[in-house]
Amino acid sequence: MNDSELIERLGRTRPTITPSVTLEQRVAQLARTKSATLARPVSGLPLIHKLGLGLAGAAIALMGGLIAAFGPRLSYANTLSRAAEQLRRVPIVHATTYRVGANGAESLISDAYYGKSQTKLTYQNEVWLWQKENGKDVLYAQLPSKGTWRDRHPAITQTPQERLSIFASLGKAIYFKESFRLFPAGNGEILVEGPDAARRCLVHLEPHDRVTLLETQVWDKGAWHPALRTRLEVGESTPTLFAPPQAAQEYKGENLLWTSYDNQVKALTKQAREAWERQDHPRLLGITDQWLAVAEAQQVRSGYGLRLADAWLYRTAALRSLGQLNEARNALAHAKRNQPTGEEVISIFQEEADLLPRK
Amino acid sequence: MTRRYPITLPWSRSTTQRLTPEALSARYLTVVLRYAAARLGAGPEAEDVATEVFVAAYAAWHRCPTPAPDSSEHDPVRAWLFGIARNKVADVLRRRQRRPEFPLLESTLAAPFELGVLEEEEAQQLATLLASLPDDQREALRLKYIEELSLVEIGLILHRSPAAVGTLLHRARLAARERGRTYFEEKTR
Repeated sequence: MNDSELIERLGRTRPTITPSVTLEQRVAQLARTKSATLARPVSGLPLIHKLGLGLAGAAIALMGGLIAAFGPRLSYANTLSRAAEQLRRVPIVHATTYRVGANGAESLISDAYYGKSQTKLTYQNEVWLWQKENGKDVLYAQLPSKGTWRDRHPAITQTPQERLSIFASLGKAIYFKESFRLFPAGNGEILVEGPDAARRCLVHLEPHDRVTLLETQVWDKGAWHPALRTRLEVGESTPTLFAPPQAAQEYKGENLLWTSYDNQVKALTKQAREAWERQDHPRLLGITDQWLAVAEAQQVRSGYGLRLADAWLYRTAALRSLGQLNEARNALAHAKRNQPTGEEVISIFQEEADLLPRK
Repeated sequence: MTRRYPITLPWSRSTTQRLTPEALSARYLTVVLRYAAARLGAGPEAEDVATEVFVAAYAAWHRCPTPAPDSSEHDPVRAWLFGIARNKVADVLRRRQRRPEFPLLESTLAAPFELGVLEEEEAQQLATLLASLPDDQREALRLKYIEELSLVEIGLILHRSPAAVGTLLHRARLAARERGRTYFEEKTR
């Protein structure tokens, strides 16, 4: 069989077949359906338009993802920002700060009252009073060591920053100089977390972003516990003392929302954190409470079988944190006399440095 | 060196209009059915394959090439449809292999046509001859001499260049000639 014969034979086998009516109808129906689909506007768009729609869809999806990821945080940041603005603009009539004990009991630390002609700050056993007298701001102070009104100073000698500094150091509230993260806590509350993982702040907002409660919480025994609580009352009265209120915006060049609580609580939280890290003396965590601190230190030795020098060191730290420096020095002397180990000697040196009189 | 065959790119401009779905089926249903019937034998199976070809074509409508001008001997639309049909036929043949009650050989020149006794015998001999060839050679022979496609169109279906298709056809003819001689000599002894 040569090529031409093969080709001829193949050609003869070409089937002569026509589609059945059923097949024609079936395929025609398919064609009509396809035509109807093609008649839809979107399907008829040019490729470039489809690409544009695709890109727009992707952009919308991306934006949606970003909003979902950061939206709540931005929203709360904005809310807190407005709340901070309220604190600056709306005069605070009354600010009360408490230390919260392990059993939830509150002990008063400070009480600040802004009046139209008088501002009074009570801090532990100290009372500070600013008032107008003969058109001048005059400061009165009563210190517990003296037992009486100590003196009468013309407040004019103090700059607004100095007055604010006094109030800030004693008022104990929230200090936002560090970067912080915001989380919704429900019930109109916002949690603020900073670089210190063992400390956070809860801000309670009333309607119109009015801040009514600031609560500092510390991480203790696997849970957050309130350590400091400041209740704020705002009013319409405009204080004549400490005016203008927006001076609070800047304090030593740092952004200050209200006042600082850092200095006063630092020693106690540090001690609590150190004890928590040790884990072998969990009861020492209660040392943050000033009614319990000395008792805790005294019971350390019998309760936990510590070395005597170590027990005196704990007592030293507790007394120092309470501001009872002479008693703390006496306790430190006991620690020195009770054969301290090398590690304890290091702690003794540290305590000695902390207890040095400051000029 | 310039190519002698046209290349149709999806985004290339063309002076010819795209086919409508109705025009596609009206123009190509018969040739698609004939291709299927040539491979599978006329009957419901070939008609089902033809239907499936158009279903797939409409589903991939954006890939349907623009028809060549009437003066052109190459028809990219037909080649595109035959490519789909080839896959559909292969699916049917694979199903047949899984079901032994069907004959394993393709019904290359099957019975639907009104053939005489001699013609039927000749067709059977040819079918046996084609079955002995490699798949690509058999397919090239069919597309060229039964469906009368151009080398360009066959190349589009078999994913080869026209030159490669020409070589393939040459080898297929040589093989058919050799095996046909052997076959016929054995038959005539």
